[in-house]
Amino acid sequence: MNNNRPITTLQVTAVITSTIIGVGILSFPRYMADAAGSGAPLVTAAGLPVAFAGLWFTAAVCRRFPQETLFVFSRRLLGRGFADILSFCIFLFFAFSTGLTMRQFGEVCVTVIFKKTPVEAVILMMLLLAALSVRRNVIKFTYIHIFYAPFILSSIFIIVLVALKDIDGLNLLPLTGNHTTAASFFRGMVTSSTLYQGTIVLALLVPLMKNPRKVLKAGTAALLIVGIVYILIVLITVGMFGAYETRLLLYPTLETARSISIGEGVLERFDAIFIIVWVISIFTTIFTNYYLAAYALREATRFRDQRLLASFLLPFIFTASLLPKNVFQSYCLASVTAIVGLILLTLYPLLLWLTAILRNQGGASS
Amino acid sequence: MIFRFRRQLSLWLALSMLSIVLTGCWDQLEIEDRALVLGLAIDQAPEDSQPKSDQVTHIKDNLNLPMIRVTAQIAVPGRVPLGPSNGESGGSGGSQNPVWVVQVYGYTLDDAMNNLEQQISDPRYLIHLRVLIISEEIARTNLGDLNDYLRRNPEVRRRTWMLVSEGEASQFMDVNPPLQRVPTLYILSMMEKAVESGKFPADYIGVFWSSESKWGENGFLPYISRRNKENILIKGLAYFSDGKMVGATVPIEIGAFMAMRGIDPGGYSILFKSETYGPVMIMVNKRFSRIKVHIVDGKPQITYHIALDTGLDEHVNTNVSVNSTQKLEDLEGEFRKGALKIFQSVIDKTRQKQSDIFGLGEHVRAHAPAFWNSRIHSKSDWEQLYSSLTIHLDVDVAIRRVGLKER
Repeated sequence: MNNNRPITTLQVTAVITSTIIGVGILSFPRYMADAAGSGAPLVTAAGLPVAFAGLWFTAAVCRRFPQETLFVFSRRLLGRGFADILSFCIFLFFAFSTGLTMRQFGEVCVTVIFKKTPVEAVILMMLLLAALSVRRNVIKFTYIHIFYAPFILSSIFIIVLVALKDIDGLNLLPLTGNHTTAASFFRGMVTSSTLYQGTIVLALLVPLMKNPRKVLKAGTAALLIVGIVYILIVLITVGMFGAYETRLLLYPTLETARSISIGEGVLERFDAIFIIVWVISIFTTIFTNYYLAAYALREATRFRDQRLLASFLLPFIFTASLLPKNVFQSYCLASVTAIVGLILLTLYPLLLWLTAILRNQGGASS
Repeated sequence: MIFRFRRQLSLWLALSMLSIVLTGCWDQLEIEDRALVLGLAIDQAPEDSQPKSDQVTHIKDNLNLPMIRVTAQIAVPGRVPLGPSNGESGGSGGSQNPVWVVQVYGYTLDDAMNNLEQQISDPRYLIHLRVLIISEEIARTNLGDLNDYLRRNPEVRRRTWMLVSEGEASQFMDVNPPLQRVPTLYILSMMEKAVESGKFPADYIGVFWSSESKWGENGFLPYISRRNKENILIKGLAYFSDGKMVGATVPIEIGAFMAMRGIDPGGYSILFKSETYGPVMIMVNKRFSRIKVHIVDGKPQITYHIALDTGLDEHVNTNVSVNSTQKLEDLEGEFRKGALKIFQSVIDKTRQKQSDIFGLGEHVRAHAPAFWNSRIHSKSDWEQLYSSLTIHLDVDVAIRRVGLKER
């Protein structure tokens, strides 16, 4: 038993899974239906390979340096200045993305459940909770994720199972959708791949993994689980409402949860369960984002730990969450941020990996 | 000393922070303080008795909207019976009306709801809204305007029933049926039981919205009519085209519609006069249907295969007894002809009004996407095509049982 490296492969899978499943789950069937109509499940699946590329680069480069985090060995590969600038970019992205995720969370809560509660209060409570949790070390960070992951997955599967009987297969045909153009399909594919963000969290976990060589396996398993969850959600939503109706709904997944029932009305309103699960899944997502932001900033500024930085970041993240003026602006900003993130988190690991090969560092010896 | 002081201070700080946990919910509102709307009836305001606008949501009347009248049934807290009633003599609540019926006017549904808010003390809540009745007039003109509010409002469930009434909708808000204490709950249970017994498809407002959104399908709603003082008759399907109600079927055609959709269990019986056996009643127990789409000469053709599992329910003229397979087969043949006539009548009606309530367009979209992509570019494209669509019907009837009488 090696106490310095306590994290198992399965635990890494759980962390990545619960990180990825987050705020987008409520609205993404709409984007998918927009892109390809009844071909929505296909577009969702098409995003997976793109997301997998980012994962593969990250895993490949982290595997070469199993003793250090990405932020440390990048300095050696790219030079201190350049690596710190990019670490700072990662910090900026995750801090901003945490803020916007919180805003979307707040918007849903205020629209659907707490009509009189100010959105600031909803956001602040959740942020405080995350800020306090971020003060822990990576091992505790992992354990918190592992604790919540089963709740998120099992309740999503229960809702899917209940909803299955309400699916009209006709809504899912033809498989490629009607009036689908290559451009709209491609756009949907990019949107879909931004939904799988957060795999870079494995950069934190590799130095603590019992078997760092299996990191790619863990990441792939996580992506597959999330992919299945996403496809199932699109299947039930589009299968139930049809593509045209899905396009009209702001939160199609929530509507699905609201519409299903067991035994013709004996048990109704699954949206309550769904919202609870969703709040947990948001927490795990912003927990990771916040953690990565604090960690990246800590590495860029050479602090010894991220505790103080986490508290210091709180007002900035809170401000970022209040930037959008209205609901459309917050969605627009969120999707722009997501695409920036997709580019940054795919190309940066690729750059590191290529440099590592060119300079022939790491990996080969171990 | 300073150390102790600091310990004390941090203890009090921690305790005061814990007090945040005790505050409870920001949106908290006791159930007694809510005006829970159970049912709504929406009419066009009659020309002669139109009141002046309440001016709750606007000042001048330059809106150019027709005025509507909304009749709301609000649950009176504590009087809605939750369990089985304990007899008229039991509680004092027996004689009191469990609901309060309020009538308001407005230019839109939200305007009317705001006027309602202005008139009652408690804030209104639509979370328990179960039944919406709209008059035929509204359904034929501006149903889309109502749906906008209902879709936006997160309190309205997709499993609410929306019904179209013959005549005024408000008359359904004060029926006083003996089977249920709350009128809207009676209408609700009436519809739910109709679904269970195969008398009506599960056509909730969410289902209606979905089919209205689809390009290859038109929505339909239950069409009801008030018979005596307390009775409500499910009169047929109110079918829609271009977002407006364009007609209604007769009750037996609901059965035909459900057979074409293959919705179980079968709930309708058909009475017809057989040439050799006299008047016979056949009860449909199970329905099955399969649809095939073919593109012939650039036009879609629909082939229905419908199978009905039936039983002999009544045979009035008993001079000739039905007592052999051969005779049942004769009856099956005659029944098939009768059933075909009913199917054809629903198809003709809806085709004439360009209302594809069968969702045949969705079948074409799903199974012949090449045709669909090249020819259909809006919902009205399909509505027009539907009116000249070729539909073949192939009906299989099997009479399985004849009841307890031998001949």
